[in-house]
Amino acid sequence: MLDTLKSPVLAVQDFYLLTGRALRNIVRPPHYAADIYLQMDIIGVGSLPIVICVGFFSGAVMAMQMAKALAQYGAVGQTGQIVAITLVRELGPVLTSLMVAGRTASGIASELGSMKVTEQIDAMRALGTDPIQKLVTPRLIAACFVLPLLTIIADFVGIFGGFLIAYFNLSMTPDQYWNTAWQALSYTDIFFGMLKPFVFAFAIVLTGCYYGLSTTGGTQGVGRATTQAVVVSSVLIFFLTFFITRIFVSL
Amino acid sequence: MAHDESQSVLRFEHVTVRFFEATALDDISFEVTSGETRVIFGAAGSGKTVLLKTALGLIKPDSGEVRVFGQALSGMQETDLFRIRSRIGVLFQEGGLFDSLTVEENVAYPLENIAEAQLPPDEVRARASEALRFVELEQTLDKFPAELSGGMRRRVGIARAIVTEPPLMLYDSPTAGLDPITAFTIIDLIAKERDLKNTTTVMATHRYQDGHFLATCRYNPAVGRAEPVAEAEENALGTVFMVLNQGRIAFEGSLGEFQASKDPYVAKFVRREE
Repeated sequence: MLDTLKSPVLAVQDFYLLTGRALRNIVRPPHYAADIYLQMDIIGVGSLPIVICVGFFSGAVMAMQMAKALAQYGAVGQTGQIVAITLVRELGPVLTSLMVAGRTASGIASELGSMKVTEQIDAMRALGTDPIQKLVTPRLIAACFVLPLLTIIADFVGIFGGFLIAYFNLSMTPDQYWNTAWQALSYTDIFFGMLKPFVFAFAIVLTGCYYGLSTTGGTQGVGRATTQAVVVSSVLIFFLTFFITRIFVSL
Repeated sequence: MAHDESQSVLRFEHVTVRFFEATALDDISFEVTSGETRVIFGAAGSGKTVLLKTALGLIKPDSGEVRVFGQALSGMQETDLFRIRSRIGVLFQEGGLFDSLTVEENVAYPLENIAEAQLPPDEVRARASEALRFVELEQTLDKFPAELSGGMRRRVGIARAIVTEPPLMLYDSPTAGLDPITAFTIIDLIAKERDLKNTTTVMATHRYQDGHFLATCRYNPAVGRAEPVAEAEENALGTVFMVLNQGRIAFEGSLGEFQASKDPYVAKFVRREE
């Protein structure tokens, strides 16, 4: 019984130690600027097509669904407002982060996991480099920077997707759609809409790095670590969005 | 550089390492002195790799003390361990080469990242080339590890390990999975490094011929390979054999004692001439 409990407690402890070290290394030299830019490119630019795609279709689908519901109250004109609020507050950050989690957490876990099983992590430590400083911190900084930017893009593309539906299907004028969309948003919406991806970036990168660096059992272990990283980071995103939204609605 | 023969380079004092229920090293004590060659035999899972990683401070013992160059590793921060590790060269079982870096970048890595070994950028390339020339692979500078054969990867691993000219070398199963000809090349290189640079050498292996070669051959620069020494000179090579069995030392002694051992487990590692 005790052994069954020991493993998850140790996992939580290791996760917090990894988080603490990764954060401490942000201010401690050496800083690997080239690795940060490389990761920004991999995480940010690499995720851009899928984020644009998901943002666009989620905005368009929202517009179609909401227009149908709003028509019952004769409020189809409010479609822009609903699409903007839903995307900026919730769907933009969550869907973007889920896409990045699927792409990046798995990529990080498999890359670091492969390095672990081929003793590259040990070699790094033996050759004077802290693997957390070299591998985890640059990914964390890069994701914290690019995920909010990706969310802004997804939000905008989503609202634009909603506009196309409103313009072509609902016969709304551009002014009507964009004015209601813009006026519906408050600074609090935008702040929380940006805070969420920033927090999710921690969940995605640290989960991917944790599972990657704890990989055991050869190539099979790498596959297992990759799956766990995606599942856990996705669940964490929903868990965290619940708590952030809870704070938001209580303001 | 002349070595004091009595100088302790690596010392294990009642070291025990456990992974949950499994005991990887069980009350291990031994000492490697300067200039010594220690060959560690053991079946898969006997604790050879764990022992070498513990010597590097990559694994912390549950009890006991590891002393490297007279300094106790317990309680050391990772940054302090980097200083100790800068004086140890290591060849990992899997090579441990960085996939994303070229051969030259791999070999230059310690010169750019170990604070104690850092060189001006223009000297780094020269030193990396020199180390690759030592393992006769200077033509592979721009290749990636994936483009090399298993034996070549081990040789690049040796070049990376020796580039900082460390006084202690650790080899983890350097010939595992290699054909006999390539395995001989690797062992010959290990003898070359040991004899030309007076390096203290610790090698884990399961191949009797690897240990026998190091105990009975000395590198001859005039002919460019290791040659057998007279039987009377074998002791001068200072080779100690050690056998691990389920994390415990089953045997420790000279080549002659190793060959004469009646212990059934130890005898499995000795290839006796019929």
